[in-house]
Amino acid sequence: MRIQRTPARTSDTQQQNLASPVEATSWREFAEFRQPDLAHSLVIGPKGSQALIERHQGSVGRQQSPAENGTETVEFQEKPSLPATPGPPVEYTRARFLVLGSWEGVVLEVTNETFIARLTDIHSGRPDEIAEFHKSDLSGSDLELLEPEAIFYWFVGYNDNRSGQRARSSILRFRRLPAWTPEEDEQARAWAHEAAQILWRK
Amino acid sequence: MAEQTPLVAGTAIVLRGAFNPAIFQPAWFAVEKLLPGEEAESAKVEIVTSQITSFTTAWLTIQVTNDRFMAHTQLANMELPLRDLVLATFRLLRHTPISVMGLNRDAHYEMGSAEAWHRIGNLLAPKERWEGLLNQPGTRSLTIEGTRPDKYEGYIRVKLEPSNVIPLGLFIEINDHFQFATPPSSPGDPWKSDTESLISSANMLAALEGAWDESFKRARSLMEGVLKF
Repeated sequence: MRIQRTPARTSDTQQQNLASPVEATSWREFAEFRQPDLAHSLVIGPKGSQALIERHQGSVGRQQSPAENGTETVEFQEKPSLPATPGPPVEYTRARFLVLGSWEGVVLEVTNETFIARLTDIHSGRPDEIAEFHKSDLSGSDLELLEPEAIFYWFVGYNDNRSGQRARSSILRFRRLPAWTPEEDEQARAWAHEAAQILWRK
Repeated sequence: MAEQTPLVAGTAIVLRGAFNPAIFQPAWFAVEKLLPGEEAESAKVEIVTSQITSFTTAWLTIQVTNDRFMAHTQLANMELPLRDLVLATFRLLRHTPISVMGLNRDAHYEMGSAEAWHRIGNLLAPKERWEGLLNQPGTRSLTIEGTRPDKYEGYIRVKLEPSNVIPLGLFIEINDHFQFATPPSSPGDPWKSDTESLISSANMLAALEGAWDESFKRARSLMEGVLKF
């Protein structure tokens, strides 16, 4: 007879045996977080709102295997002393984006209504292509980043929403990565090396 | 054979070091232009304190304590923006000591049938040896570790479990672990390193930028390989 196993839940009492807490980088190791001392904590949100989100009963949360103490990140088992604002559970959304194609683009030229870019396929060795996009495809904050040599990502795929509906999507997102010159990189490394030398000498 | 596209998947970058959680709030990311202003405005802030910060946006979760930083997304098209966000964050905070980094991919696959679901557990952990020792033995969790194929210290772990999200689903997690300093032998002792990792993010930044593509390909290849078992 085959049995259907129930998922591991917060009642697990097994000792965690793998990576020690100080070196683990598996993201679920965050389950080892301890509740901070909320009595002295300032909880702030956008525009000063206060919010603590508790996990709804039955929610799967983010963990696959909860740690022995059954806690998850900021999902408090005890009632916090600060006022809690009801909100949606923090958990897997089931929404997903199925990538059909992804490119990295470099802006070559910006005109009144459009911009022209060179596109490099991220996951294949296909030759680069030149494409023209409408500025109206960009969000307001990305429009601020539009200039020659700016880098962006272009994703084409299916957007599955939480109710299971699928829509074809094209998403442009500009890279928000402050450029670091090789000289800056070298300077940072030199500083760190020098500081390390001083520290080890002590 | 399982469907090759996971129903739920995620990518997380986990760093261990010394952090000031109160910095990592949406407004800071917006002011530094690392997140669009509208995303920061609509972020759901769970908590911001000197000990822990946690917030989510439409595509991103950030959780930081004094010794850990995690950035996580569940959207496949946001993996590169996730990497860029971490790169940009610690270029700005480049004097942050970072000792280890994990590039983690996780996915929940539909196995298609109970037979396929049981088969993979029985293949990886045969139950014959357990008959008579345990009543109805079943695979709860299995982790396989391999050495790194590149120049970095660390390991690669593949974890397999029954999915707790999808009925008859398989959960696969890849923990691509980079070690920039030696952990203490006992809690409370300092990390050991003859590199700059204890006082800067330079090694982490170089590894994140240099090894991301290979790590991504390796994770995909590992997951596809497991599904072909």
